[in-house]
Amino acid sequence: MSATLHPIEVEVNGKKRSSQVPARLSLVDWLRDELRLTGTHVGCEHGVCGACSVMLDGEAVRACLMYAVQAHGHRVTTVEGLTKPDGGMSPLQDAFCETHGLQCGYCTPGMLIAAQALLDANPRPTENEIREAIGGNLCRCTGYQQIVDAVRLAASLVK
Amino acid sequence: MSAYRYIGKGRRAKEHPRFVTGRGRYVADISLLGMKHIALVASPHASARIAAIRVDAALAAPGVHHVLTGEEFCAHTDSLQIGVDAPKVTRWALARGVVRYAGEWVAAVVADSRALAEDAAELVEVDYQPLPQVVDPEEALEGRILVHPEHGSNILYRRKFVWGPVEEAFAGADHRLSFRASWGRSATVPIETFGVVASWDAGTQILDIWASIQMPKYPDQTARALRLPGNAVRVHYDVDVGGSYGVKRGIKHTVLAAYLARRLGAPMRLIEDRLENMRGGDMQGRTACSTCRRPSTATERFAACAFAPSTTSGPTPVARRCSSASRSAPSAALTASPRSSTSRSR
Repeated sequence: MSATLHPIEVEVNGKKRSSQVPARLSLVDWLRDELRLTGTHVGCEHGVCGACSVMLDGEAVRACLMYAVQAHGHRVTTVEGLTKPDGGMSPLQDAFCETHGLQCGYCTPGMLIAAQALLDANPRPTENEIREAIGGNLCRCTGYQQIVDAVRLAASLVK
Repeated sequence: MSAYRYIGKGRRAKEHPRFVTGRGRYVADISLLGMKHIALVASPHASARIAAIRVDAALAAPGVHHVLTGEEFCAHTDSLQIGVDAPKVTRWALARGVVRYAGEWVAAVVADSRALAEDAAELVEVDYQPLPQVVDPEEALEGRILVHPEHGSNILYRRKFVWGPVEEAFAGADHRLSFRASWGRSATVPIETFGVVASWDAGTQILDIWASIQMPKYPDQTARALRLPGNAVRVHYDVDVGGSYGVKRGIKHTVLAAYLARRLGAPMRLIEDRLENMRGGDMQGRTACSTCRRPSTATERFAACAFAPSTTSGPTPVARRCSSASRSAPSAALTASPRSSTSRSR
């Protein structure tokens, strides 16, 4: 273990955040423990479940497989950053509530990140494209169908 | 469309807005001032004698406050309740003397962060002398290898259930069908592992618990194991649970974290990692095999049925898992379902 700290500067949900972190600190631990952005969840800690997904420069990535130092100079969006500026729900967040695209809520932040990254790049996805986009995220409650419904509903509501 | 106010209407769940905006409050989101973190040392052997545990290197590691082993822990807490009448079969969070399954916890390391606790856990040295193991329920019944030698056998519970005139149905049958069924141990895998935060207030003598829990009698069993009065344990049931499907019954985690919180005078956090969740989480579905018999007559295809099941609850039986390597006598474990009674009367 090295006690050496490394300076990082990351734009998180639109705000510049500076920090001194050990090289081995994962991005998800930095977000949760230091920035207290606890909406991003830890599920498997080895890149399988997708619960820790965040957007890095607009692309969905696993925050458990990245070190905080690797985010230096990049733009990170967490589930907290998906809300409207007034804190209200985005169309996608609202659609998840409407279609019951969740139950326990633990996988939900990762699902939202994966789905929002899809919609940002492809506002009118096909069902297969939706399933492909959330294919790296595990949910144990819903059986996925209502999550697909939510993404489709959100796509139909925007513009 | 619907004539009713609620039925047939699309309704939203009250808790969903906080989950989709990242404002849920799960156990890993609980952070208390001065909170310490627990990492575990687990047995790689299914059955072994613990010859020695050396903790000096772990204790000397940065940020480490304590390394707890079964010797200390079992002396200051009581065994968890096992739910059957077998007083010599005990169950603690930490092994003492022997390990009875791969993944059983042998030591707990307390440090300023989980990462530091894991670093130190790797420095705990345990000498094991492997012993023979038994995993098959029918082999366990033979009793050549005893999981709890003090108990005298591997049979923890044996009971006969009879509903309806089953013997008569077999006696009057034209045909008798018999087959053997078996299935393996299973476990549910919620995306959130089990976790617990415990805080002891020495002034009020109250234990506060936050946990990903949905287990009946959780505060009562925690209090009993810690030798506390029942009203000294306060469980905060407003913690969101990230899935369970039956596996979240972390009573051993809770007693361990609570003991350490009281012992060290600091709030303790123990969050399973995925490996601990899958091997050390012991609220799993049992291995079972069963001989099934069914008589039928010309007019009744399903007159009755009889099962002689043997199930293992694993090395340490737990409350509400009432049979462990137990088998009712094949000719005696007879059941007839209400449905077969109904068809008989027609």
